[in-house]
Amino acid sequence: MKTLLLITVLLGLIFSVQPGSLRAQSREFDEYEVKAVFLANFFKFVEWPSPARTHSICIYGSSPFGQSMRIVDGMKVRGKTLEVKRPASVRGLSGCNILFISSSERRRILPVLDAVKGMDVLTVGDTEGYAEEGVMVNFYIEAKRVKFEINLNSIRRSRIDVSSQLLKLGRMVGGE
Amino acid sequence: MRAVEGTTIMNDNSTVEKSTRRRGRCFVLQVFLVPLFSLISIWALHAAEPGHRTPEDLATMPIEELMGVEVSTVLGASRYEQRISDAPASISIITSEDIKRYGYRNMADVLHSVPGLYVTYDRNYNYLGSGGFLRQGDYNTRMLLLVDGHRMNNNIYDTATVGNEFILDLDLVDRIEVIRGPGSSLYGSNAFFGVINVITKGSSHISGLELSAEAGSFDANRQRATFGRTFGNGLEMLLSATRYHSRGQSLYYKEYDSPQTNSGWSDGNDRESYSSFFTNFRLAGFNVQAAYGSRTKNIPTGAWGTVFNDDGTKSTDSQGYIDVKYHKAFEGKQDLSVRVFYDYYRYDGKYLLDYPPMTMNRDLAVGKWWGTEAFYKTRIGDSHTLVAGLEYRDNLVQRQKNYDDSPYAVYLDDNRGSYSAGAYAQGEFVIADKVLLNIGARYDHYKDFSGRLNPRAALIYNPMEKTTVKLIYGEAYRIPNAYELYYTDGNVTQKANPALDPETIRTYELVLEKYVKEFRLSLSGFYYDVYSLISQQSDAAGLMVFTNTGRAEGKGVQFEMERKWSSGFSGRLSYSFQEVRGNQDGMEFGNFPKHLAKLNAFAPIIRNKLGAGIEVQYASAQQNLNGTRDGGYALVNATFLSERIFKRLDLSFSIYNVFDRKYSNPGSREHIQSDIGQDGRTFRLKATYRF
Repeated sequence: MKTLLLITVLLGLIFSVQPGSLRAQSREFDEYEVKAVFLANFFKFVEWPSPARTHSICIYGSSPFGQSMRIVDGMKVRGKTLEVKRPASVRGLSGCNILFISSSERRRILPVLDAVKGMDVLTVGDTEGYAEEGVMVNFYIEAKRVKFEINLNSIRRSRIDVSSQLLKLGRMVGGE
Repeated sequence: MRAVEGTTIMNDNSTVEKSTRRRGRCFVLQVFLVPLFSLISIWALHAAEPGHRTPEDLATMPIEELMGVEVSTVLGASRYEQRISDAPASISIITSEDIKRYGYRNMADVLHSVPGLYVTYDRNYNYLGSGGFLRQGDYNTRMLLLVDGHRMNNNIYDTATVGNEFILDLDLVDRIEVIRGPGSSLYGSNAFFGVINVITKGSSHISGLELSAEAGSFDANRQRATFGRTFGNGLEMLLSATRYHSRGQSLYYKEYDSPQTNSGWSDGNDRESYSSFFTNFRLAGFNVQAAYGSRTKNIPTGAWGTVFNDDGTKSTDSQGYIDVKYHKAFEGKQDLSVRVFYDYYRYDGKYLLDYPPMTMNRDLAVGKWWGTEAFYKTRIGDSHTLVAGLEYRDNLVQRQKNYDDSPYAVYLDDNRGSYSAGAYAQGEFVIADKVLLNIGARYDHYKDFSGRLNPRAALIYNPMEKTTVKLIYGEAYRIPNAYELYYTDGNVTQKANPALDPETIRTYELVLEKYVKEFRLSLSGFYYDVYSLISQQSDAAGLMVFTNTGRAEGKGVQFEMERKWSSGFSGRLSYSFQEVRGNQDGMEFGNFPKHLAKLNAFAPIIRNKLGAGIEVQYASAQQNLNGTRDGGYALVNATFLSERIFKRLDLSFSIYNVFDRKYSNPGSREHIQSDIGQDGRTFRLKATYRF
């Protein structure tokens, strides 16, 4: 019994140390690294009515991305440089092509969506229920893979054009 | 003198048993482990990666390839955890990944690993304790068990089946949500200490044919075939069938150690077999689900005064249902779902009694019921949410029969029917920027009992980002079931009590949840007070009878910590303390460990190829019905798992109770044994192939 408790305590201690040596040898991709690359990829499949000089991704609310956005910041997609912004309020959202709305905004999601109505912004999230609320693209995890659902009605109400190639990859929600 | 003889016999027997077991173990090791590891090493060499994949590789990946990349999820950001932090309850979630990594064989294994829960086994059924509350003679009536929202507690015993008699193969489970605290404000009866919601996999998880086979100690073997497909018109289909058989083990009970009863050895009476079927179709808002499961277990303990060491005494539980659900989301803000279901349950107990002469006593229960539910969710203004629902259930058949085969003699033939109707509403209101109020109530009307309103209120406060404090108050109740009210075996061991009243509970909880980078911390405390508790007692004549025994109160604290590393390591550690007391003289509360500690850790051994899951479970001593205490237990389980070998094969090897600890669980009133011995070290090898 005592040895078992000792094992428990020792294994518990593992929690407080970072297995640094092991970290280097095996590396799964981080959920948010993959989501960041997805956001960059969306520029290949989406057409905005008024072209800008750069592609801009805005993160609204408390960012879950950490350092992951560095992979795509400054990257060239279809000849334009991609830039990542962190607008502090809804007033700063007008220059965004893609708006990622963090789950920290889940209780204020409708006012945020109202604020960007008519701005021709592709709204993206990764919170359960966001697509049903009107967010255009919403990530979810299934069998350890990042997938997304699409609210086609929200896209149709905007002047954004989403290619059928992208629509095929997503799961439709919120009616036909 | 006799006792001394007995012990010698026992020792001899156990030595014989041990040596054969050891030989068996070596055999298992040679036959299974050698090919397993050679296969894995060949595969690991074969699949020598084209170097490390770096974030730069990721950035240049086309979107189709990106959809197939596996990710390590971040705590506190995935969709389940968001729901956990907003939910008006303390919730634990066990995912299909946990089920694979820790080698869980059935619901009992899963629930064993959930903080604050414990499961006991009497070699017939598994019994689930929560908040330190587990009454002998109670067939898990105080936990509501749902499969995709469909109520599984049957209409005779109210059983939440958590052993192998559970209707679903665990391989078909996507996740299991354990919602602690009274849930009667949403779910009505039975949601007394909590709700267990099992969510099944869809055809997006299993596409094509999947075959699974496993072999384990005591000739346990299990096979499963599953077929899943999504058609072009959007129809999703899943079909699955499983069968299992185990020879079981020879068991020694010192209470039966006399020459007339095989010196205490019950040989070949621990057999268990089950089969189950599951099918699910989904198309455009419609979901049709049908399931059936049947399990037979021999009872080796001589329970209810049956003849010891005879393989005639056994119990068979069968359950099936058809559930049709329609769900529609209206423009942005509203949700409606309607459900209609039909359920069937049958219990067939065979008990060999020596009156004399030797007579087979039969215990039969048949339950049939149908019901319908409607659920509506809407937004009020920008940020408030309201859910409301209606439910109607009609118990068409509630039949219990007890009789002797030959000469034919009927002791009980009780036919009942009943119905219930309920209505509920729950609102989530943002009362300040960081404060959420969740308040709800449900009213139920019963045919034979007066109606009751059960309220629940939770205040959810976010003092800072990723920190949640919840203060929860809830009431729940449970009406006595047909078994508690009307069952008697002709007043031989048990008598009926149709005058039983419902029992009620009031619970107060305080929960603190915090996410710090890859850490999740949770600290909670609870206090509950049960009124007119329904409890099995022995009356003056020694007969078992259910009575309302007054009040009981329980309290406890719980601590949980979870961490995930991006390297693939993950771990969960929990400790809980609980104590239950009767508020009346003479009402002793045992059957709970004061301290429970659990540790689960998963480590990748060869990157993405081979991993090991270690589980440590500690429970302090439990008091049995005789007032004595068992020694508690500390168990270690280990699983080695290799997934997607050549993309199609999953292999796992599990060792349960690695150190072969001897431990026991408290027995019940039907047992002569005060404690029932549990399994020593056992093995399981499992292979799953996808075509």
